[in-house]
Amino acid sequence: MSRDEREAQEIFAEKYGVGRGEVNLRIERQVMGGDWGANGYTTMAQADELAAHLDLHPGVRLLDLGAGRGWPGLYFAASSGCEAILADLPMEGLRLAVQRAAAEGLSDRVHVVVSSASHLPLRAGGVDAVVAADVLC
Amino acid sequence: MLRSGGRIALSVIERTPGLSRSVRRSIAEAAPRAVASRRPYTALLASAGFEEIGRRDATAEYLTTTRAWLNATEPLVAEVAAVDGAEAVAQKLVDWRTSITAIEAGLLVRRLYWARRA
Repeated sequence: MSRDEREAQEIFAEKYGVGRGEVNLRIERQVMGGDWGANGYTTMAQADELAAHLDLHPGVRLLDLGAGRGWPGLYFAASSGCEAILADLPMEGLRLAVQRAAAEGLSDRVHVVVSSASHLPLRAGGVDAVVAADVLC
Repeated sequence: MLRSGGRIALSVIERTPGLSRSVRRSIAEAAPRAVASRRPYTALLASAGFEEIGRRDATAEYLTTTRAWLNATEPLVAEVAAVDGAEAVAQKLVDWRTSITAIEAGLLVRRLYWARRA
């Protein structure tokens, strides 16, 4: 793991580890129009725009790099029917994503992997689409 | 890991091109972590074997959303602090205000990119 990756993991592990609280969910709903774990700047309208470019539909396997608490991969799995692999370093955020996937009945189509983008345990050609929202800056 | 013909979509925050080194350094504090790419993303995608590369500016929406986070959180600072910790909330507010200043000054842009792997 690079120094940047370690730093990011520490920062976001602390951030995600405290849990969300109802107040943060209310704020996310107000700002984003949904509560799929967004904490950045990709709005739901932009997510839908990205989904259209990715041509997401049932049968598509999507990799969400830097998924955090699951945004936007969880939302894409729910709205398009695709399979979503949520990848990130902080386990705490992915734990929340797994809980939300179960609550939404998406557990059979949503998978998580704790990994940096450079060490993903995926075979070559194994995914049909990749999204990275406010990660690669 | 993306198959041939597969698609990629990104939303990224970038420094406005053509800035001086001193201004670029000052943006490091204003921008979210990892605003660091020196090459345009269109060039990066092309060099990585992607084609049908598209791009759209989303800076106005970035400013609107950042303001929305700040305006939604400020009235609820005490309540959010009880969950996230006072220091974390205070830092969020500072980060958003700093980003807003940088965006309004034309130092940060946000773009959506999409492409297909050849």
